[in-house]
Amino acid sequence: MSLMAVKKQIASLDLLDLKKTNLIPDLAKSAEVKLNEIGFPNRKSEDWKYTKTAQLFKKPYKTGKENPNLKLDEFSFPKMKCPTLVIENGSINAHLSCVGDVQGLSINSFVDINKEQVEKIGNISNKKENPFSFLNASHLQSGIYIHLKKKNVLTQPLHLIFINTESQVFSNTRIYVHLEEFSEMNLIQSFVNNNDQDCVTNHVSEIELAENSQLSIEKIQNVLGESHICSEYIRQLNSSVFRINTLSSAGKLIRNGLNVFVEGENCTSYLNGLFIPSDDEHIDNHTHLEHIKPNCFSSECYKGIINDKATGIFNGKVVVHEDAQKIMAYQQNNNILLSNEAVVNAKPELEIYADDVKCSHGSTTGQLDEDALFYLQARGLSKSAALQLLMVGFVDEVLQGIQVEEVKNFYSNKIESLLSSN
Amino acid sequence: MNKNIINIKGLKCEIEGKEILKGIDLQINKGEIHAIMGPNGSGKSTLSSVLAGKDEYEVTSGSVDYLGKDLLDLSPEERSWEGVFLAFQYPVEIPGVSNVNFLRTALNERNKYKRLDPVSAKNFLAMVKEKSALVGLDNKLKNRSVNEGFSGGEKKRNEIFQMAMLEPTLSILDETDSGLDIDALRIVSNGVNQLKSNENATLVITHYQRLLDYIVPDFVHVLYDGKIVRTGGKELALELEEKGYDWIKEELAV
Ligand SMILES: Nc1ncnc2c1ncn2[C@@H]1O[C@H](COP(=O)(O)OP(=O)(O)OP(=O)(O)O)[C@@H](O)[C@H]1O
Ligand SMILES: [Mg+2]
Repeated sequence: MSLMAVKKQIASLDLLDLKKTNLIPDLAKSAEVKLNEIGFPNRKSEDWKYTKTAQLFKKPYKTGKENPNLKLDEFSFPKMKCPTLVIENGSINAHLSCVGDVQGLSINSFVDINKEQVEKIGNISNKKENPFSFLNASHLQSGIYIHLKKKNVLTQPLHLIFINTESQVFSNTRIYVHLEEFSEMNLIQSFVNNNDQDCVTNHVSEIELAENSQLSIEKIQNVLGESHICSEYIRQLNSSVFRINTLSSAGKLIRNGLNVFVEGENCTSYLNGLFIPSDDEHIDNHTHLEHIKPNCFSSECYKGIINDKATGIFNGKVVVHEDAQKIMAYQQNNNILLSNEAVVNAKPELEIYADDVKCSHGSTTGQLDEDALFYLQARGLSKSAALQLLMVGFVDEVLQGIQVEEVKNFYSNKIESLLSSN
Repeated sequence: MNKNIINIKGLKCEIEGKEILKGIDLQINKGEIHAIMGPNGSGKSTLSSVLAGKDEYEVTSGSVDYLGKDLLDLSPEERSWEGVFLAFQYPVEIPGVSNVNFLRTALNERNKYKRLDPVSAKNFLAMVKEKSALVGLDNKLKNRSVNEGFSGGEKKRNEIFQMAMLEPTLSILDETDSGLDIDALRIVSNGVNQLKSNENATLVITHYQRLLDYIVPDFVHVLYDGKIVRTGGKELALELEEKGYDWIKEELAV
């Protein structure tokens, strides 16, 4: 598909007025230039081999309006009363957002940030050439800058809810998260919807973790019928801890591009994920982690349960640079196919240029363990109860890694009900 | 009153076209302990799997009556709810599934089938405490994933712990003694003996006469090449221990 054709389909979107901001006149322009240079993913793009995005641009898209009757109860975590920001149809919904006053935390639209902050935007994402991230910059509809001052440790997570409430909406949203030294927070990003509508969200997160800072992200993707291109770019400095749980339970086409640049020593990174596509859904997880400095630990665990005619993809790349000695990097991907027509493409990749490292990777794909099933049945579990228990057991490792208790409970229940309907 | 628990008649089964059980006749009554011995590959585990309901094996002829029901007609879980228990020769490791959670689900599914109330959390915990003490199962193992990372002996103890929790009518112990150290053998056997009553029965499969010093059988059967070729009292086990199986093979060849 040509770039021209793609742009034509999103030509009518209301974009963020860059002139109104002291922002980035260059961001959009340089993204445009880059995009023209590398073009849109086509059949030859190795990175997009299994995820064909041309189908997304078969029809024109629009910008949606605010829906005055929008209710978000089922997506919020009431027990926590956490600050919540709502992004509806690609724009910040000020009525439904409630951020309050949290010590050390500032949350601003890209329209309201200072020059120093402006200059950061795009710096981390430009380390990789992803056409969708350039498209996001050239067609940006809203941006949120999240800044946590040093030594602030937040007790409540910040919750960002992204929701499309009309059909045929295309949302280009972006966040920039900057944690200063010794600060810590949890971020929940919920991508959700109310009903099955043919929308696309193209989201970019840039994350900068200063020395000794810690960030955990719970990323919930539950967008039945919608497509979702979601790219994260993380830069870790000395002794920072980054953790992300990508929990994808529904979506017509989901592509997660998670890129972590570990540029400091003594860093820790946990990249975990769970993907449960059914029907003809397609969920693609691409991770790319670069160890640039020595003495770091990273661990990656992705589990997929693929049903019906669905497709699951895991492509995990770990690069250990020449100077990055004493690295421990572990990667694991396990998939279960629940039907004969379900498909998995799994590709773990290790590129190691240092000699004193401990790395491992492994990927398995198979059916549920028949012997385990028989064992449980022989002890008196009905077949359906046994199957459900086995699947919950299969994903347990990922669920246990979820940091926010309420999200963990929500997801444990969600998974159980999802799996019991099989 | 019918004293019969299980009555196996002319049972034959095959897997992938190969006949493994070649006509088994075996009757077990309430209050009895039966032992089956026999060389490797003779079909002992196959018999126990068929009785527990593993569908890999195709039963080609024969019948199994269990408390007046056609056992072969029941699903594995129905057999369990009706009181059949198999302690596996090789207990399966199930990562991510907690030992006690799964047992609680098992008990409640059975109660549902029998139209009984679910076990309360309090009663369940009391039961876990009592039954794990019976087989000396380490406390921390109960909350771990089913058999995951358990030592060979711990797995076997866990099997008998589960048996104690489920209180079966017919227990089939497939080489539960292998992998147990000398003390564990005594403890586990004691556990099995305590669970014994005039209303239930036990079928132990073993290679070693030593187990039968603890769990004293009323009958010993020799399974050879898919058939029970000899039945006797507990002294038959002693004879086998002394002479091996060759003499039986020779007698059969004549
Ligand atoms: N799933 C299977 N596929 C093919 N052959 C099988 C299968 N299960 C059992 N057999 C064969 O059936 C025969 C009986 O096996 P079984 O496990 O019942 O023996 P056993 O008497 O329990 O032996 P052991 O004393 O070693 O435990 C063996 O020849 C075995 O190879
Ligand atoms: Mg055996």
